[in-house]
Amino acid sequence: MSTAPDVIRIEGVTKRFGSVTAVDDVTLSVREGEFFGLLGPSGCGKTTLLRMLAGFETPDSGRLLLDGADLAGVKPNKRPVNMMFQSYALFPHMTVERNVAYGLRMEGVPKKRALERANEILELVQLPGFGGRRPSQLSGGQRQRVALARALVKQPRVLLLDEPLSALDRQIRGEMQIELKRIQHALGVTFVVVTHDQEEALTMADRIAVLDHGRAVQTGTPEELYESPATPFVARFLGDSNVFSGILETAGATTALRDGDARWVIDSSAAAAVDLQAGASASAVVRPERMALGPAGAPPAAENLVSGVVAETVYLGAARKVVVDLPDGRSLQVRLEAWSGDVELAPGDSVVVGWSAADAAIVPNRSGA
Amino acid sequence: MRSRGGNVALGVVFVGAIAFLYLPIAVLVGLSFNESGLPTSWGGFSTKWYGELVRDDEIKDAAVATLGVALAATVISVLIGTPLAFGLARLRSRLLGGLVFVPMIIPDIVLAIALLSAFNLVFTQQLGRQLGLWSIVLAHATFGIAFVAIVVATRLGHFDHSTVEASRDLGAGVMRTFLHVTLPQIAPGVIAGALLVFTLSVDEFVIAFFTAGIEITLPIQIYSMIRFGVTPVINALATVVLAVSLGLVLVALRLRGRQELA
Repeated sequence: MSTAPDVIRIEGVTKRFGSVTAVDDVTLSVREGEFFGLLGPSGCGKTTLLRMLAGFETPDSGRLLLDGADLAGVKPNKRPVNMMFQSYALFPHMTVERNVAYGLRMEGVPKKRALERANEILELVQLPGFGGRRPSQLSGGQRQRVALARALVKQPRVLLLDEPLSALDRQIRGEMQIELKRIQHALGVTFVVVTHDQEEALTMADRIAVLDHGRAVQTGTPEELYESPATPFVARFLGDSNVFSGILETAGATTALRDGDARWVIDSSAAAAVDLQAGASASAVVRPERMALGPAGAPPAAENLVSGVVAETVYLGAARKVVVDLPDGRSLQVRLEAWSGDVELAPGDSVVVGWSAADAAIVPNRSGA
Repeated sequence: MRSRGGNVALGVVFVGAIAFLYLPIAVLVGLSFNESGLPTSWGGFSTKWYGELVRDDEIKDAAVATLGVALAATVISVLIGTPLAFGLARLRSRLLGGLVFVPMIIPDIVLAIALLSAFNLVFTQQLGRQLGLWSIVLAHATFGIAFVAIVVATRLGHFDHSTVEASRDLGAGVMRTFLHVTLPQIAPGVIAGALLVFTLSVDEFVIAFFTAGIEITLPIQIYSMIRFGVTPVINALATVVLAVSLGLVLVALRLRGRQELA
């Protein structure tokens, strides 16, 4: 997969709206046939980036390249990319098949052929026989499939999807995540999907770029982002995490983060991997499932221990989430597998939470990150 | 619980109100078919007054002038009012929106005097042109634009602008997007607005009377005929105008109903 050529290259793109910098010097590339996620909280600039790729916004500086050709000055109707809109934007005055055939008709494909193609693609999105209906006669999930079919019918180089699942209810959303993957594999079209839902991005995307305040903070596979986040923001945004900050110090063979009286032992090679020098500010990020927990008298076996009080336990089916309040007012999340339920925990119980140096991802604290 | 007596009283009031509203019109329509032509005696059913109506050249000329004025005023109102509605929808300014709708609620007599003075100042004194049918067209367009703008703007309230972007994205240029995506979606509003303006223009008297110069439209013609008493021909003419207006309003209402369903 790493040998696939780049379809899209975004080079140092900046876009301002008045005094707000929506997209700030973003550089990233999307590879051929990839399912690429643009992930970030609302207002992070991900939709603006998508709209620039579609041609509805113009970058203030930087370049957008599609198959190596600069997109500057190319009108939206002349770009070999298609977009699936968040509101679906179906034409209410046209039947489903005329909606789907619209792109082909505008290309000059004869009506009969265009409608044939439309009905083929409607079968691909599992809406056979819906061609004669109006968008107003469809459910939300069906409209979403029509919008997908309409955007795919011209076989674009890249399909842009703006929050494709946000209008669906939770159950259909899960089905559609898998459905989108299936269709993407079937057609081999490159997908760029904008989402604020980290679970959605982790489920669907081959690679993800995390955006924060207009900047691309980190790009990588879901595993890379989850296991080695580049900033505390990425760590917090993708999944739950416990963050321990401090100043890096080395004493003999051990490397640690010192935070006042607390001292967190970390893996020296992990610190070296992110070019951390002694005296630098850094965070150790530990996922809830990597945390261990024991009663006050019997602490878990781990290098780093901290005492606290159980605030609440949440039953999650396959697991339990335990929230532990620390004396300094912060709280930690610990995820225990259901079968380790021999420990009875109730709010108010004193416990010791621990984590091993090997289970922490080390993240430099950059100012503003 | 309402008492039986209360129900009867309500019924009486209802029938009375309906009679108050429709009796004059019923009398008018009835008399237009009265053979004798006298309001005091029924001489049997006849369409002879409609025959006289058709043979009256003055009325025919006035009717043609009226329809021409209404058509021209409607076309101008649609061509200016529709883009105006788009501008208003985009600006979302209450002040500008209010400014556009003022000509709708300004008293006719005020608008008539204002237009007459303005036309005299600009066209008669500066350009040396006599007022005529064209000045009625301009005058009717001033309120017509406002009516089209408000009806189309209502329609645009439900308009999803991303359908325009979707059309561009799917390969259509600006013109084809307007023709295939925007226009079909706002068409019911445009047509309803046009019918409204046409109906208003056809029976508008005050403003037309002030700005007509020496020309005569149907309402002005009726006014001059009525000074010698209400003739059966006038009843027939009024009945025709009533039928046409009612028909247009019904079409406009049907279109509005459909747009609410969509």
